[in-house]
Amino acid sequence: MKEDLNYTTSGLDPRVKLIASFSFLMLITTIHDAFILFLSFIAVLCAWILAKLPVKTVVSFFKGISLLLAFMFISSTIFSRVMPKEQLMFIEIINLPVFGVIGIYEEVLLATIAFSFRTLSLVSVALLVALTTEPSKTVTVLRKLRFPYELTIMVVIAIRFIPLIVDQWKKLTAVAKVRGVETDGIRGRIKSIRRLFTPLIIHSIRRSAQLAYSLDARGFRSAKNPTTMEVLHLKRSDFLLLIFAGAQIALSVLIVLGVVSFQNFSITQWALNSIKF
Amino acid sequence: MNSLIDVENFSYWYSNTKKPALKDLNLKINKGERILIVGPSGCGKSTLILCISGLIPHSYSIGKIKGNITVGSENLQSTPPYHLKNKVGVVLQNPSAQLFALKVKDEIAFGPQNLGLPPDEIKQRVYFALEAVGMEKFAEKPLTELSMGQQQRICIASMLAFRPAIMVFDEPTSNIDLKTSRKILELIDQISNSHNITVIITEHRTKEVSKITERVIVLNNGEIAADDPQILKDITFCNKYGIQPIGVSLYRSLKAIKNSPRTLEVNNLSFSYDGNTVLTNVSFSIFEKESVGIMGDNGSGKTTLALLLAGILKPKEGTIVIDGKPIEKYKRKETIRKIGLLLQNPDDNILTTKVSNEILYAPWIQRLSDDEKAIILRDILDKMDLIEHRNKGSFKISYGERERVALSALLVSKPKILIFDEPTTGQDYKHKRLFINLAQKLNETHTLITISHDLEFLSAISTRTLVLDNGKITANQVNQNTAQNDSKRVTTESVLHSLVEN
Amino acid sequence: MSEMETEQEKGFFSRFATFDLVLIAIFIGIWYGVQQIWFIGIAAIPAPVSWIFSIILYELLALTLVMLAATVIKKGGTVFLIFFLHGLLEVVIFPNIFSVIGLVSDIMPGVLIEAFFYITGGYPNSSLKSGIGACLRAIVFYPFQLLMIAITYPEYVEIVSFFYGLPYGLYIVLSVVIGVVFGFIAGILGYRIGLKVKEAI
Repeated sequence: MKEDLNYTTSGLDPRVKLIASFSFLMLITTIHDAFILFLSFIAVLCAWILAKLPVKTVVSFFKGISLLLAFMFISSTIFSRVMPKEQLMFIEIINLPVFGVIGIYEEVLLATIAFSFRTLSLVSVALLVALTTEPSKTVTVLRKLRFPYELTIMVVIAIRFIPLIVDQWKKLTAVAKVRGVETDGIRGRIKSIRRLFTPLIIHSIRRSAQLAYSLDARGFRSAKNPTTMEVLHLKRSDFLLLIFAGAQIALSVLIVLGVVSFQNFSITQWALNSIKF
Repeated sequence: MNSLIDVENFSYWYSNTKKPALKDLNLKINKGERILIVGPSGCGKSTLILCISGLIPHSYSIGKIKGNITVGSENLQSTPPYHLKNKVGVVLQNPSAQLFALKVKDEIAFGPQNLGLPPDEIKQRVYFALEAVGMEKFAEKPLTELSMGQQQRICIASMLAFRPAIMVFDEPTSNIDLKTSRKILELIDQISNSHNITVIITEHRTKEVSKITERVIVLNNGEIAADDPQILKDITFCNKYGIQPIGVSLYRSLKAIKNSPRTLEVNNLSFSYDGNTVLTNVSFSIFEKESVGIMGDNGSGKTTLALLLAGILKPKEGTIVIDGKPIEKYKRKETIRKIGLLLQNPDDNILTTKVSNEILYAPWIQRLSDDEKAIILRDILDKMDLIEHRNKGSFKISYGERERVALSALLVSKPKILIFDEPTTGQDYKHKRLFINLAQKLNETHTLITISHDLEFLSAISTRTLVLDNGKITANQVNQNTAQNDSKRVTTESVLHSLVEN
Repeated sequence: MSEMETEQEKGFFSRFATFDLVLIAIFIGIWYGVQQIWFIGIAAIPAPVSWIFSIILYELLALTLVMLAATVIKKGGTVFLIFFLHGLLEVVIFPNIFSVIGLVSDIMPGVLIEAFFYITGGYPNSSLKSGIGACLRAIVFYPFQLLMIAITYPEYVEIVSFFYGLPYGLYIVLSVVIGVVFGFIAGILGYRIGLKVKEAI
């Protein structure tokens, strides 16, 4: 796990950030216009820049997701079997004997662009929140949200143990190698997962016992209301963000109720037209 | 004077066992005392720790208790240790197994938070505890960045946050090298003095710990065999109970081998991991049937070197040649006949659920016939004194037995070169000596490479020592009487010095 | 002064020993740790921080609820209710877009759940029961989950129709069948692992 990421802690309260992300999620799920979704993605990128996130992280993240997104984009666009209502434009690619004509409908293309930007925005916002919040504040945030104390500690334990488990796995692999198991390569990897899964569980159980003692020795689950060391205060910037979040929620409700609507592709058409000329 | 801790006719049985782990113990501990508890493996030390710290019955509640333990005027069986007027803090064996939080300050705040203290007081206690262990600057650090010694300090700090009157330590130095152990023991000494804390320590490293304790209790089979500060000087008594007496060294004179062929050759070996250089330009040779020791501080690259030699990691630069052939040219099943590695903690070497399956693991991989396997098994069980354990569950046996099982599982492949990574971790004195005997016997037919930070131990089983410092070999000398005057020599520089002196 | 001498904790978690809670947490860690090992080798994509964080959160919640329900209900054919709860939570909090991959990777949590049951409580008491219990999950919650995905992500229906050339309804049925098979395997594997673990410790 990348524990060496430099977290730029924005001064914003993590609860407020969470609420703002959810409101954003709500809003863009109700919008289907490609251009507006593109703008919302740009908005998230601006937030990234404001948060001063390290470029390396951003780049590596997008590298990871771009392949997936590209695949979905291409397959959705070309192979969609949904016939659009108005065939605005059609680019034929190939005429296959059984499948018929395969090509790109402009409408479908725009729908896919919309979908891609929606996904990108959502994922970017999630990453933004995660990278600007110290993981150790997790406990404080969860406690303030009245999340059960035991579950909060379990989340921390799980996150903390992932690298330890990876280490234990490496040790088990080393021993397997010493006994003649070939663990390199894809076949080796599958073999080693089969063979080493049970010992991994056994080691984890023994670890659990030690940690359980340590937690109990420090009074875990002895008090009805354990307190927290950190106190979260809401600042002016938090309130501003909350108002913004409220506006997003309101807007999405209005869209769903049909009071406000973006005619499908109309704004996009306008944008496209202005580019064409 | 009323004693602080009063153990009265105390017995404890683990569930479904007839024999009690602690039998009718009577013990009085006064305020401010520093006590060392020693005894052979299985004597009940760890059980006593669990009982005196209140973990039995408040964390581990299966089993039967008879008798009482009173702390101050309160009964430990009915009040948890953190609610007593005289709180008891406990630090168990493996520091990294006791820490769970993401940041240091969160780990230490955990205890006070569970007491329901207000945020300001929690902060105060966290900084008090960090200061007491000398780690004030580490509050915001993630736990993964800490060394073993630092982790141990954080374990101590997280208990200090309770402002305990009593601190109990179960083998606090067993996983740590000698130099860091001394620092930790100094810390315990200092904390005990400045904050008036009564200290109870169990340990095998009697020489080091007895420097800070005034009272020594010997436990055997769940009963107190002796309660005498001078007992460690009684060599006969100590040998009877498998404890390391003070003033006796493990040193023995060994014959150096002559004129045997080169079996392992390392040339300009370099290795880096995650951007950190671990080994730089390491070169050395080892001859057949030699026994070589590799010494170095934590982080010097010893374990990485072992993994490279055993063919588990691939070098970035340089070559490893075994019996004339570079290691990459061997197929896996050939490599294991040439060189084998035993990891530091015997439990890390266990892959199966039954002793016999564990030992026959490599033969099973090689698809040997049932008859062949039976012969191999019988032979090694006999040699390693494991016959009665053959069908037991792999973790249902004692620590020393697990180590023998791990070693057996390694020996069945008959590797010519054996690498032992810190084989004396967590071992009591008796087993250390048994291991030395075993190593000497194995040396008659195998080449041995032993990694250890324990200078005294190395001098007992190896004839030559390589010193690794920050990934580089800084010494490569035949041992000559290195253990005799070793009491102050612990740093790599001083080892080099002493080797050069001779 | 300490006001809680021997106060009985009344709450959901009072049934669990601290050891059980730590074990569940570590099991979740195993689940993601092993995935990370696998992915690091195959695709060299480091798991994004947000992914780990959010999934651990909801998986932990789900898994704990599952086990809680199990201890409440104790045994028998009500296992389906347990997995229904798990599936419900999974779908509501985080729609599993890649449910094709999800079906196969779901073996691991199934295995862990069954192993946990056996190790800590000795239930279920046969590999067959364990297998049946786990595959009931597929029958009950996959249709629910896939319908929820269709509502929140209509484009997904199209992707599916490209992949399989099948109407979505048929895809749901197929998912259930595959889920049953894998679930059954997961249940049996988990039980066996639990047995072995008990033998060793």
